[in-house]
Amino acid sequence: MSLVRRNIKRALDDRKLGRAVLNSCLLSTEKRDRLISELDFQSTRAAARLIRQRSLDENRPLLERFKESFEKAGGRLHYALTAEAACRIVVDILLKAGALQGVKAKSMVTEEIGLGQALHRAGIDAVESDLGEYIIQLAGERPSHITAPALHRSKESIGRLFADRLKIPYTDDPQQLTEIARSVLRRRYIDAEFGVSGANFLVAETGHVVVVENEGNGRLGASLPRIFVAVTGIEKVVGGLSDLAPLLALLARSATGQRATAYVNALLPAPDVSDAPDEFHLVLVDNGRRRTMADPDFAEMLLCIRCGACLNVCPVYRSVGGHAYGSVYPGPMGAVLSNLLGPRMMMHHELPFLSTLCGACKEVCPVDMDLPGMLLKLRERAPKPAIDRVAAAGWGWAMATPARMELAGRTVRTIGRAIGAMPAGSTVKTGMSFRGLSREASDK
Amino acid sequence: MTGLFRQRWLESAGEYVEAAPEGDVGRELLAFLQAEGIKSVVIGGSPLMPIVGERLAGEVEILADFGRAGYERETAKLLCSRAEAGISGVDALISETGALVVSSTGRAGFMISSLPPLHLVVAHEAPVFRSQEDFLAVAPTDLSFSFITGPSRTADIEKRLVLGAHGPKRVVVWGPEI
Repeated sequence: MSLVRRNIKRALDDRKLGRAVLNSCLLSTEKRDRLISELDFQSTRAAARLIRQRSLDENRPLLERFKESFEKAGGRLHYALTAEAACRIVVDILLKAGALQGVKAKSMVTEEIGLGQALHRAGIDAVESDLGEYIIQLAGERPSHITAPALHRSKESIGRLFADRLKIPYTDDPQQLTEIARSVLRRRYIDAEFGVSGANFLVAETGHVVVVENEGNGRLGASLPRIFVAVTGIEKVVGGLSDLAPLLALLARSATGQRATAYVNALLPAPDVSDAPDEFHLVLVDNGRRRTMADPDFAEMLLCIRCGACLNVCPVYRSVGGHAYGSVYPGPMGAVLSNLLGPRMMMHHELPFLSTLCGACKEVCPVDMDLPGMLLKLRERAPKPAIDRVAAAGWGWAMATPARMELAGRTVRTIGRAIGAMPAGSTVKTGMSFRGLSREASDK
Repeated sequence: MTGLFRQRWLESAGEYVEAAPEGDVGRELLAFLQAEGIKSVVIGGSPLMPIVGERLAGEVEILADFGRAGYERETAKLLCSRAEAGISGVDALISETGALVVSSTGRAGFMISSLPPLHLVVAHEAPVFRSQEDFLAVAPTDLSFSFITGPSRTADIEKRLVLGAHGPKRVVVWGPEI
């Protein structure tokens, strides 16, 4: 049984998990639907899609423009072709600055490149500060949802985890658990020498790095420590500040069912300002994105703004949760994206089959990506199961010459009889083989 | 537009006080601080703040007044994290989303609005924009700024909303009369 199949079986057997995932998805979808109905959804997402399409079509000039504005403000830009290169850049920045302890805000691209592990290996202590990420870091797990990373955990299990790891009395009250995390992490913020974060958008004209969040950890990480490193994908660049309006309106509604998140931070390097870092770095990650932009079948996937709405409506995700996918990005967007990023395509070739192709993901997508269409194309590209491949290769070999064909025929009959699949004498009613008949025919 | 701002701001769990016309907002802030039993504050650097600072002087402990003096990062963050309340102005209000616009101008605008558990915002003279779009069309291109919509929050545990994640637990706006 493949790993994905084993994961799915385990997820389906865990009824508590199933209930937690389903409840969370239903709640999120209901809130999303209510607030999306305030907008003219079709025209807003058409506008958002145009803005994101320009991010891809004019990616290089937009990044050039961004680099100019960002560096003029005092920022330092880095480009990483691979996940390993991106991690090395971040580690080098921090080691060079002697910044060995810091805080990390939630970011999917840092999960994608495995930054947490890379920092750990380099002896750099980075605590996850988003509450959900903090919970799963304590538990040694991976996020199971791109915007609600600890969605798979009940409040009781989080209470036990805190009691065990933080040596405190058990409580399963979300309010108290949040207070506890706040006070532990507040001390870490005051002492932090660096902050690491993702970024939702980059503004080419002005050099702003935009971080959308609710907890306030993003802006703390970008203003308290002396070193700040933002890490994001090359596709996140947009033209001007005005381009943010439809994207922000759709992102908040689609991701968390809010009209606006508690914070939208448009960050600009300002080395002389007391509540801005001395060093503001931005690491642009390629990791397969440039290649994907050139692929007419899948470039569309890079329009994604990581809202997670497609996870919440997906009947498969709702049944099995995020861990079953075994990839950093789960759900419909993850089933596509995971096969496009990294050193080679189709690393997760089973994932496109985790879909009923019902189309709910396309319906809610704030940039109108054709996820079902891409899932289908990936299914076509998926390597065939090994038994099919052997059979197909064998067929080609056997059909090449009449001698081989006869040998193959005899072999198949012998094996067939041996395993009882083909009783003796049942192959050809005349008692002669097809090869024999055809030779006879050609002799005539 | 101010009415819509207030409605949306309240929906995001923000608090709103109508500043008295012709009134002295410093006196109103002091009354609020005394009623809440708050003894230490940090004050931001926006234009109205010196007047506020004068009213509060001698009545509450002003740990830092960023309008009067510059502070090193380490000092600024310790003072802001020790204060019971941060008092600041605001660059603008946005009606449709019920958002404050706070910029980082070298006067600890980000720390004041992030570190103390209570953020008091003097906004009765702030320009009001209809939408994010309207503001972004004229937004500062050379400053960091944040849209702030209510207190900091999380719903990471079973989707239960909890206010006061890493930032303030309460944000009170002194806004125009409606």
